[in-house]
Amino acid sequence: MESKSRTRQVRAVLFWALCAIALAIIIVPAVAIVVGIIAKAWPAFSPAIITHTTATDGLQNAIVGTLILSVGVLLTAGTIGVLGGLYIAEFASPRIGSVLRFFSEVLSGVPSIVVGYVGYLSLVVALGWGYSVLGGVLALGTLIIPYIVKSTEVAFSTVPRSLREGSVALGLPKLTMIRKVLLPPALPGIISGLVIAIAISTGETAPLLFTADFSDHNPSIALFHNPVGYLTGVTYFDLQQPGANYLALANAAAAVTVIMILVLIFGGRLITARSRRMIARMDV
Amino acid sequence: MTAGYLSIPTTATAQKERSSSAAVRVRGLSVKLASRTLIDDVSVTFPEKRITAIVGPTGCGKTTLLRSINRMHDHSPGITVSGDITVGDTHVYGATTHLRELRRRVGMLFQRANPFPQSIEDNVGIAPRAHGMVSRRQSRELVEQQLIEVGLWEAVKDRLSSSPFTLSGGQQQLLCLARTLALSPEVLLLDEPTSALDPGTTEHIEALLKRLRERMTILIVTHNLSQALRISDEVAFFMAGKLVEHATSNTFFHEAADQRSRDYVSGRVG
Repeated sequence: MESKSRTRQVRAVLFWALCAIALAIIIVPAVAIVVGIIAKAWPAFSPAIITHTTATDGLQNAIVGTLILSVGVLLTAGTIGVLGGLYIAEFASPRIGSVLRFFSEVLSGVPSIVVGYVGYLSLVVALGWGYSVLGGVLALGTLIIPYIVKSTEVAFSTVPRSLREGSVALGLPKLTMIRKVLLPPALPGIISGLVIAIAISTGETAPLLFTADFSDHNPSIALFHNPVGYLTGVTYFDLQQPGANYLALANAAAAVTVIMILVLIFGGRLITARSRRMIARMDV
Repeated sequence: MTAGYLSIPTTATAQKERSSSAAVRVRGLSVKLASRTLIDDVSVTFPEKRITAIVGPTGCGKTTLLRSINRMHDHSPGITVSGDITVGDTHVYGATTHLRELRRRVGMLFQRANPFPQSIEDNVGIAPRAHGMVSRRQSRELVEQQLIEVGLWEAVKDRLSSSPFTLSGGQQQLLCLARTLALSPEVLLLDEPTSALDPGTTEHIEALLKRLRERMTILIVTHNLSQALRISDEVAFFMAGKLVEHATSNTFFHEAADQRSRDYVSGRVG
């Protein structure tokens, strides 16, 4: 008996230790990377980063380009992803839903460099768009649509069943049910999914290298034959250049990227927490 | 042709004869979940403008029967329904049945209040507007009328635009009842509507149901035999998916024909 309970104790401690180690493996690198990047970039931070373009040791064009690409992705991939997720959650039969989910999962497994190359062959070359904002937006969008589909589907399917039954029992038309009954509780989940997806796209480089190329000047309105600068591009290209000023700019760009992503993820979490509280209150 | 054959009425005449007294007729109803039988060949007639209590032990198919009447099972994969149910002259499972119209005529109140994430006013007005029964402007009047009917008006008249989740559980259930009544249903299906409520609200709802009986057929699933005794005109007693006895409340509670009914009433089975 004595030795048995001793074994159990040892097992419990071992299990606890493994969990702690696993947690540390996640937290330590994450904190180290964020702190390291920002600390390294600190000396390079100056007003010039915002007032100058990459042609003259600033990041203005890259920040503007990243914002434009993000808004473009939000509008295109956001619309497609949300409608796709809504379709799977509310309209598709179980069989069609499972087929669509499968393809969405396959798409999410395609490496970003492959998405970039396919974008290059189809948009840049075959359609003759050249390097362009639109090409970049579509390549990035393709990459994150599966995330948005998934988060939207989950947001709708976690709406309490009692609300759905209440609408059905009143004979409400499907669109009224979706708009008035399901959407309000699903909305925070949809928005936080969008925010996380945009954060992911902000950190991508590979699809843009093939479709948007890079430009040292501020983006113009033209959709085609118009390369655009972006933050991850600065890091990618300038790290390969000789010279301290290039290295400093690469570090600064990486830091700005990380800060933007942190802000997005933090915002997404706030919204998720709000949605949890709201749904919990409804399921009294 | 034999006399016996002649004496069986055709479906049409049978319906005509009974439609005045039979608001909900269930004939040979069986409901299955995959291969498991939930309701086993049940035939029962729930008369018009009466409160019928549907009672029986847990898992006897009470709720399943109730949900067959407004076709809630259509939305549960794996459930198959066979047999015939009519509400008035409408075949519930007919090929041409207008489902939304059926659900307008057959209202349902659930065990737990499920107000929509809309304002208190919109909760009551949403369905009549969606069915095109009232315009947006008329809706306000209808909302007031329904809230008065269920006795919630005084409590909410100054906060019609606030969230229903600020109301108490009992008030939320009353709001859901007002939402259902706003469609002027002919049949009201109640699935243990007071089991989560305080005695005061329960009493209030029971009084309301007795008043509503004058204009609609009411079926109430309840685990509470005293409630059945208090408010019902008739009782349908189910066990293991089968109808054991259907009688007036007086008969059921005092001189039930079936031994199982008597055991259930006396608390020997539960």
